[in-house]
Amino acid sequence: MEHFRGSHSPVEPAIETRHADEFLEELRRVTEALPERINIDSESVEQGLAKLVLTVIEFIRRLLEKQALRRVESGNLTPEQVEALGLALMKLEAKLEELKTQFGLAEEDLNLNLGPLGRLI
Amino acid sequence: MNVYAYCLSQEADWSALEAVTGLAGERPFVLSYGEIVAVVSKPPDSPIAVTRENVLAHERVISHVFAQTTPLPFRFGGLLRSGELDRYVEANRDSLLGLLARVRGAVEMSVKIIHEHGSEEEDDAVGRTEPAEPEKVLGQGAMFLAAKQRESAESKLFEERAREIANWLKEQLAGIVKDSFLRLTPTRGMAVKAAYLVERPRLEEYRDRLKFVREQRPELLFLTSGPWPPYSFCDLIT
Amino acid sequence: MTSEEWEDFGESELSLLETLDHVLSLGLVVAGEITISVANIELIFVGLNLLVGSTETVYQVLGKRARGLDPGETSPDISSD
Repeated sequence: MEHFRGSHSPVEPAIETRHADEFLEELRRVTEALPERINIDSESVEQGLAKLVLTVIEFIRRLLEKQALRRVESGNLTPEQVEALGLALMKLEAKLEELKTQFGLAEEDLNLNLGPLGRLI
Repeated sequence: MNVYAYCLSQEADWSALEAVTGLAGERPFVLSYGEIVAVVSKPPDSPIAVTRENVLAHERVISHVFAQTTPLPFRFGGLLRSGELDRYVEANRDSLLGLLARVRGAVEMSVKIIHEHGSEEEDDAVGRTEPAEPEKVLGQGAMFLAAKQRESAESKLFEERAREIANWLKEQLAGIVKDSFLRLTPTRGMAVKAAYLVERPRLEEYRDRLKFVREQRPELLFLTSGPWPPYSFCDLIT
Repeated sequence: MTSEEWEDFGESELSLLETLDHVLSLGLVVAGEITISVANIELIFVGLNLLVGSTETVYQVLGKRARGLDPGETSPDISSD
């Protein structure tokens, strides 16, 4: 058991920087990134299921995107193919955003903890 | 009984808690689970609002415990239904005892680093991935992909930079810190968010070293804070 | 700036944000999620208002920033090296 001799009064963490403005800008993103409400009580079965499904779809979407970029960079596609690929991915991204909004999910809500394998996304 | 949870700890002198109030002005009290003790209070209404008042109340209760012993702090908003806390402690007893042992006698010190806005070199590197024929009018799909390519190249660059800074910092502080936890946040701005577990007697040494270290790289902007209770060292999944 | 003026300010916005970054993102979690509600974007500005107590003092702080002064210059919590 560690008791610290001397003062038992709590110490406020001190904060020190020469660049308050830059850090303010960066740190504000912490709260901006928060979804409106994370409410475990009102989370219905449907929402839980939606989360699972959308997480998997989002994972696949990112894989597809990476793959598409590699193919485009490889130079083996015609301009028409590039255009078609781009449009398809664009629509997929938009659709996923729509679904997320419908179920009240934010980007950070979509993830699966696979234990020792880490997170899916 | 529902409770709002502040932290888990080992035995301490709980009279220190008589002086402090938690969320909604509620007095914190302890629930004992053998070697592990939970500091809780009667909860405010759900959901817990993220206000300055509530956040500071949360920190305040924990810092009263922290003055005597290093607890494992709960994340803000931990409203637990009856029995949830009991089950949690029992299910994770060994891991929790392990964590408590790890943080014993130590505090968390935070270092955040912003990299000055990109050099010309970087912008060139990103620019090189632009499509080779800018005069051509691109369709929506192709533009979408081009933007994604740029994003991806930028991302890689920032990630490399963040990793480099994180490794450099690690080397500089090796031997002084007990443990570290890094969040790489490779955006154009914040490169690294680091948390270090520093034993209390070595705090002075740590601060001196850090002062020296930041002089070495003037292109990096530093924000340091602490001591904090070990929020970053509460990961049960190891 | 007198010490009484400083007491009205309490901690700076930066200090609150640093605290938020710790208590909201890290720490022990019992269930997979936590029930919180946020006033959304308003939080920071409302927060700043709460921090300084009135609109006048908000402008005072902003005024300090405009003059290139660190609003936390005389704070006992923020040390500069």
